[in-house]
Amino acid sequence: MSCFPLCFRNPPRSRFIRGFVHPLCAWRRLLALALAVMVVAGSSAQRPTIFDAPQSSRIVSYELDVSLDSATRTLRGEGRMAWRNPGAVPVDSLQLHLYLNAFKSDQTTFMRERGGTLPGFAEGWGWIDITRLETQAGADLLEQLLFIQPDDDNAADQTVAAVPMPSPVLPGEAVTLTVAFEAKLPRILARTGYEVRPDGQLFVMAAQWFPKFGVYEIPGQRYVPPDAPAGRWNAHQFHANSEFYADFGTYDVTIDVPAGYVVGATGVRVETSESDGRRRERYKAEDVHDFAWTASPAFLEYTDHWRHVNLRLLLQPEHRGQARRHFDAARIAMEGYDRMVGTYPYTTLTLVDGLGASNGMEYPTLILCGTRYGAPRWFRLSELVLIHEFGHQYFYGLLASNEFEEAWLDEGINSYVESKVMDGHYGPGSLVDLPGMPIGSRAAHRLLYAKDAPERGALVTNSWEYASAAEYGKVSYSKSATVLSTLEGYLGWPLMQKILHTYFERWRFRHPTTRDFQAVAEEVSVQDLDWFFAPYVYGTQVLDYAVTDLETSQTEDGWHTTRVRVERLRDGVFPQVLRVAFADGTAQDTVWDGQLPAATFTFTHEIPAVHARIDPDFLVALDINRLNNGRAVTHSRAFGLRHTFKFTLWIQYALHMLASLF
Amino acid sequence: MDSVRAAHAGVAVLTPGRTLLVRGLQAARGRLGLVALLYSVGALLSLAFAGLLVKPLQEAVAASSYAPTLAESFDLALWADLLELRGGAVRSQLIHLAWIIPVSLLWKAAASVGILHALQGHSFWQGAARYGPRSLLLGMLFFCLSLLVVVVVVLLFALIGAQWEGEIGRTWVWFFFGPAAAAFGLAVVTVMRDAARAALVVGGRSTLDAAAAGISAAVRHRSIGIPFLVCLGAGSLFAALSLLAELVTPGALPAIVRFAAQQGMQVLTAAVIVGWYGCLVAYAEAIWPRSVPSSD
Ligand SMILES: [Zn+2]
Repeated sequence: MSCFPLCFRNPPRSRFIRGFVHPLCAWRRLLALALAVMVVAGSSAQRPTIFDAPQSSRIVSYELDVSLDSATRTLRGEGRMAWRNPGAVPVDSLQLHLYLNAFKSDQTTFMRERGGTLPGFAEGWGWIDITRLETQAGADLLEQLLFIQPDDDNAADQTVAAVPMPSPVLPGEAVTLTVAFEAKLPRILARTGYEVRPDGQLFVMAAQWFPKFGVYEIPGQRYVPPDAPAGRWNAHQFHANSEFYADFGTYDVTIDVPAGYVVGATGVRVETSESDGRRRERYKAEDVHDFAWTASPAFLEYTDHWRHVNLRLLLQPEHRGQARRHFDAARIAMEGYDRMVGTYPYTTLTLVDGLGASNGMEYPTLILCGTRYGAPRWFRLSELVLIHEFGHQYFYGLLASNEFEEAWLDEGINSYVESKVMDGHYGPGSLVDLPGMPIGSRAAHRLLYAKDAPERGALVTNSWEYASAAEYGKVSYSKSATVLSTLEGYLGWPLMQKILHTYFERWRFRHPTTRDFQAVAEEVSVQDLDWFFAPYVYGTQVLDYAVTDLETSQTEDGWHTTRVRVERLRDGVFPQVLRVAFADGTAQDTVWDGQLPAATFTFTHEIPAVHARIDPDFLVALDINRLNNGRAVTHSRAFGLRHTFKFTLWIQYALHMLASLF
Repeated sequence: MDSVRAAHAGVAVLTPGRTLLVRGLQAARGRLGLVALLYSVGALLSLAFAGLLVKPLQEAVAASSYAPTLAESFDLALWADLLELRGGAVRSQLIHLAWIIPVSLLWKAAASVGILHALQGHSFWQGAARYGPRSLLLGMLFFCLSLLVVVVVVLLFALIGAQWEGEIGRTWVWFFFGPAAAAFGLAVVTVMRDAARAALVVGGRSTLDAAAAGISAAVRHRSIGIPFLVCLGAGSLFAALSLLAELVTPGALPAIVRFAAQQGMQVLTAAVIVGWYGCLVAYAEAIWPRSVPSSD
């Protein structure tokens, strides 16, 4: 990492950069200091988004004050939380997510689905207790609070609670609750909690740490019928496979931690102070649907910026040499998503290098990346994770789909765009850049789908209903990315980009569904796409076409006739291009609708054919076997020769190694 | 030679590494037949096994129209399809390792003593036949020692790793210091074993005496380490050049030319091995002179 760009381009803000500063940079420090003063002075004016007006419906708002007890790994919070009834009829009960209770016992739905804890977890249980819940009029709601289990009736699960109201919340009215709670952080099993570094320093990732309103869906919203008499709460229990769903709103959160801790959080930091051995930081966020924060005395802090976005990187000290690598990947991600999808509307992005299972996770304006000491440059796992998690600012953060019910809209569309950003920037070896064996992101997704029971798992499935975590991952990430690659292959990138852009512009700050995505795709491409969505998005059909026979013969007038037999080997149907290549380097294409189980095509040409290929440009990524897509007139020995030579050499060296031991 | 006289006088002195290297170089240049033999056996075994592995793959690729693509570049999708289709057939060919590994080990045991014998001006085959069984015993003995070295290194570094918490420590312990220590240990055992074979053939020692002499030679006479390191360096250089040839842009180099260049490196590697035995003969003649001349 060169210190030059860091110390020059990234003036520290309220806290001086704790990373390495090269002596050569010293002459720039005065300038940096001056800039720092300017930025600090201007920070109170910094808005959380680039917009002056609210962008979302702002159903919820939270004003919370939370304090970390580092000894007991407990959070104590209090404040006010408000919910506005977006519907046309009164609502007589609220629903709250209390997701830290997923870590309360081995009988919770999360623990049962996950199959238990980890070795050494004994002290690591976590939970959240609401100690005060009152209306502004002073009515105590705690007595009536009732844990409910809408997904599985597991009485031991306390991750969703219903709160009957003393009087219904009228349409358009907001109810404000005064709340106090104590949250014992779990040891990090999944996404949230605490971990102790080998040097004894604490790392805290506070996610799902406060009582959070569920989503009240009104008639016509998502899958609630427009003619339904009333809306309904959509609040799912915390599951092993799925992530989150919440409403947009505003957050004003003050975080109180021991002095010396470095804090990162959703939104814009508007105040900091230190007294009595404690540090307090206040953050404001607008038009987001969650708020997460992290704290650790071990973090190294680096800053940078990209266009209107202030970037903060909180790095574990072991990874101090990798700041530039993180910022480079962040710029690639931001430029890629800006170009392909749309403008990132927030003014901050915090990159966190967390510990263990906190990494590879996204929250509004804060993402957890993770890397390793000595992580090789040729294996771009850190870059992949960072780019993917940044992509969730779009497909999760702004396009806030219900991840419980339609995870593919977040993970899948994001994996598709992430692979385009990766392959577009880093080239064919975007993921593994080994000489002679480049592996790209799109190719990796196709492999993970096509070679792992491709007939199992539909994209539109409740996350917790997949047969296994592996199947959830295969379908929500890799199959989805491959499905969208195939759609791009069919429509072409310009149309696909327009679909992504239109989908983003139309549905950002809202909760789109698969139906909404399909509607945008159909509108932009001006065609019905049911034939594609039904089998590959809602269904589990598998696509495999093959060229099964190729015959050539010469006619009496000296021309050559080529007969190609193509077959559809599985239940998936997709229109196919069949290309016959001739000895003079020319080719002829024909389109087959792919409906029948088999078809034979005849080509007549003055030059003999050399081979025939279906999907010659590899646009149908869903085709689970590409090798059978082609057939040559004459058998080639090129592969056998080259690989016999190559394998001979490797075996010679293997035998040398073996002999050296004997 | 001074060193010979000193050894005769029962004084352990270091034979200069440079002298040993010169003898090694002379051996490699003067005994091209041995080089050719050593290379040919390894190449034939490897070629035969490679052919067996590639055959099922070639059958699937030949008519697919993708043979040129797969010959010139790596394509993850095609390789995944290919291995899905013929992976089982390729795996079933691994059964041939059941004879290839024992044959290569037996050949190594016989060829090493054959070369040592031949470099003294005798017949390779007679040397292989006469000392082969004892060479095999030495091979097994030192193979056990190699395993012991690996086990000790793993245990040692597990202990060190437990003291050195954190990922920086773990990375250095398990990805650098540990492998380096294991490689160093295995290199020392290699020198011990080869010196033991030299003590057996050149010094006329019994198997156990030869083993002890080999161990003591590697421990006491560091001059033998210099030619070993030079030979190891040369072998590594040829391996690196082979790899480089593998990475030359496909299409820029016809497959046969690339293979010829790589096999040239293999011939040079065989020459380095013969040279190393030449060094050992010179060393053994100085340290363990025979009281009774060989009858060959
Ligand atoms: Zn994701």
